[in-house]
Amino acid sequence: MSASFRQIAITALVGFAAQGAFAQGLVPSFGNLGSTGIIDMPNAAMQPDGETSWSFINNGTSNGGALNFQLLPNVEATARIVSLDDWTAVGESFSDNTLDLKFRLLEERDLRPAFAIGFRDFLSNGPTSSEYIVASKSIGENLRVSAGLGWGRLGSFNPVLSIGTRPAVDSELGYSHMFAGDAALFGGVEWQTPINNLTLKAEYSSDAYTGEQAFGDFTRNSPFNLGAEYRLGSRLSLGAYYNYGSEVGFRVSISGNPNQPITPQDLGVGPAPVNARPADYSRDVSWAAVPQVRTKMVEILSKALAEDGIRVVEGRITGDTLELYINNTKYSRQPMAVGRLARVLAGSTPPTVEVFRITIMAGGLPTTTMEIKRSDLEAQVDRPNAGPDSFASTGFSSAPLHIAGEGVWSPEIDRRLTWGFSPNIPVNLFSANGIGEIDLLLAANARYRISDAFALNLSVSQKLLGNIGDGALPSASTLPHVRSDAALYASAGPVVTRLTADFQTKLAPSVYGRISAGYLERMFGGVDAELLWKPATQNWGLGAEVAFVKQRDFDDTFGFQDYETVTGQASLYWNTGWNDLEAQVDVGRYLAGDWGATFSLSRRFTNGWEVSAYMTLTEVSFEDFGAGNFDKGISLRIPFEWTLPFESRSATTVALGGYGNDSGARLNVANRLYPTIRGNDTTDLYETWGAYWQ
Amino acid sequence: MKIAAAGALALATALSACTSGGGTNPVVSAIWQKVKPGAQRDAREAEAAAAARPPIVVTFEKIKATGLAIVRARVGEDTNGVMLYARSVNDNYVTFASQLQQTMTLQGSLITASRAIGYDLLSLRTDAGDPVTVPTAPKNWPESVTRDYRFTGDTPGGQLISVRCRFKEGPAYTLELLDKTFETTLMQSQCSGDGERFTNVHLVQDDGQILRSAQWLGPDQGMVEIDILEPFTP
Repeated sequence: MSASFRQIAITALVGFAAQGAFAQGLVPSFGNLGSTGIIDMPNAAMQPDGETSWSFINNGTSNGGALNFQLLPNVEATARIVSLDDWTAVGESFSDNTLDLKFRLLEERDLRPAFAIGFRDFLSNGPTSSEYIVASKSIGENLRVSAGLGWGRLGSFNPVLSIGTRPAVDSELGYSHMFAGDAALFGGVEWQTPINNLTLKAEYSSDAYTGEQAFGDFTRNSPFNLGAEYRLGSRLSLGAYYNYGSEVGFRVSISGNPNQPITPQDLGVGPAPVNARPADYSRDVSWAAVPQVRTKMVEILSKALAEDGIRVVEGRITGDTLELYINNTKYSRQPMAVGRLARVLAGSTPPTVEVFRITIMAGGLPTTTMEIKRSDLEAQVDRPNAGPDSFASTGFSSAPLHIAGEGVWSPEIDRRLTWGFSPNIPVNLFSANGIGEIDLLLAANARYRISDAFALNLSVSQKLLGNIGDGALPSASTLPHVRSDAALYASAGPVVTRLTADFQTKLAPSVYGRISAGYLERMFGGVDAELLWKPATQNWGLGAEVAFVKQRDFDDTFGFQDYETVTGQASLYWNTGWNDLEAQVDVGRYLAGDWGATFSLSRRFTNGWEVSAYMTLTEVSFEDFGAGNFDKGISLRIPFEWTLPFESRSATTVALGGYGNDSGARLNVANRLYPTIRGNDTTDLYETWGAYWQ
Repeated sequence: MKIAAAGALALATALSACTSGGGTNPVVSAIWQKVKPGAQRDAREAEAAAAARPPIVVTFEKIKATGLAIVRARVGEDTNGVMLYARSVNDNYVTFASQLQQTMTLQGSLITASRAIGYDLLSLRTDAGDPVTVPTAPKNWPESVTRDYRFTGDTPGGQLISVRCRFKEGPAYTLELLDKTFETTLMQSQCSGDGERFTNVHLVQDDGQILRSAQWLGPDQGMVEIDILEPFTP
């Protein structure tokens, strides 16, 4: 009978859906460079917000990889590393590390096409540097035409106008080359064929490929390029191209989207139901007069909460208030832990307890205190507006180091020794042998807590496979080799990447402090001290860090080389609260003794994905900077929860750029304060508060 | 090389959630439970024991005897369904929970929230007089109502999908539910808005009591089917 009902339901569903069925139509696809576009030419299309893709590309004259990320709904960023064949001489390739940005100025509407402006090799006048404006218009659901005007490389064939003079290619930081010199027209068409997931493309290229033809035997015979893309599901796409009338190219792209987890997130246990206290509940608080009763209550509560991944660090109960400092070891979103905890407290504490004051810890430090009134919880639970109402009724404040008052219960440090494993995937883009060196490492981490504030940390890394460091030679950099000899550290292992004594504390409710000493990272050991001022209800903070460090030996686990230095930065952190974007500026002295600044922008999604892009400028001349010009890069942090059907706080990070540059190199400390506590301020809690009732 | 890479990645992934605090990766645990020595024999014995037991027949009399409001929910390809029992009440909103504490909140017969059964529906607000929330004879159902669905998003209110639902009376339908037969009317609510289109289906008695219902819980979760075996009465 159930099946019959389903048939009826399905028939009704299908019948209704058929009234307004939407065809799949043409979806935004990648070009031969790993960014959204036609083949070599760009278009004005954008990927879905947050879409992230790795592409492996080869177009006959170059090969490499690209990390493409839809930074905002109208902003696309692409970090690309390509090897340009025969660039400086026959047989000598040039490794180019670029950051591309594309901004959609107008979305497509009715008769109006979409308009975009873009920059290839943004702020750098390198071999692939170019700027463009482009318009794209859909004709029906399966055809898109695009036309644009390009400068730089994209203005090198059949220019139609010229604006001033474009400086010669020099790979230096600057903006004077932008939209300067010859400009040429380009265009193309994309057609979604009747064959599912197959798109055909054709374009007229305004790139003369002058540099590629200077040496070697490459000849550009035609401005017309042809291509085909086939999508295998929503995660994998393949592209094949016939370019320049002479070359065959291909592309493989793997995509994911932090807004679309590939497995359901909530197949575990739901939250505890909440019933309101009866109006005539007992007002007797005589139990609160007995200290032993009060501490025993907190102790029992903490044991129950530990079963659900919530560890009580400190607790105090009075007749009307319960205060808890907790470590959330299970839920990826803090409000989910707090909400579930509040529900449990509503069902397990004496009815006179009206206020729950919950403080979330991060890395052993109390961060934000949330004050929740039990009567609010009872009134809001399961109602439609519960999310906004609960955020509005919750009080937020910076937490002091300890709960004030007498009768505070705290457990023995029951887990003095904690440990775990995590994978790590370093990428070396500037190897002596070309590009694409990559390792897969397994890191074992152990922590021994001497007190709440003081701990010893050990990290050992074992290479499982990879080729970083194969045949590596000492760097020829003219700066102290603080990073350019990185490949020489990539021995088979196991290697001690960290062995430190760490002390952290709070000097005031909004002021955090840390001192670390020992082998701070794989390449340096020493002493590092840090201060951070970051009120919980403020979306920005200030930090200062100074370290005296000495460079470690390549092979001797505990030995040092001669190089030593004092390094440190002052930092400004700003959580914009807009589209999950965070900005950071670090100014100071880097490991090689150079002074400068690093500008970082990251987008941290609600589900834990984080994409960061940074740029470092220092006093070191471009000639001395080694590979690349000024340092820039992009990294992607992916929590495992995204791929697992259960809550987990594990994550891995993959980075493009920043490997092997001596200038602008910062000490790689594992437990900096801001990254430790940043997920717990009110801006972050606001963005994740939807999980409070989950 | 490919096998080595896949093996190394599998090892790294498997160990990644293996910590002193979190125990063993649940995926690893599940695999181990399947492949450990004697596991298949244990499974066969358990299946044989289950087959030997007489089937449990649920009747309305037994439901009534519990004294609890009970609904049965089926998700996806599940054919047996899961029993959920009324566990908490806040005004008109009654939350039912399974033994595994998967929960559904109902306003009358309208599912207004779900937890731990896939993609959560945070909340659902509907117009006053929505006939799915208050027993209403089929002939008295209004033309339409507006419903606001909320799902996890970047604000405390989450992501809002607002739809207009138009009701349409269908044919009479004889429903066999547990040990009884009911004469019902098939009612559809065709909903659209904010890029979503779906149809909920309800089997309604003459007095307005909904006995069986297929309801949309979101773009990712899709449809959930529920039987109101014993409605909540304050």
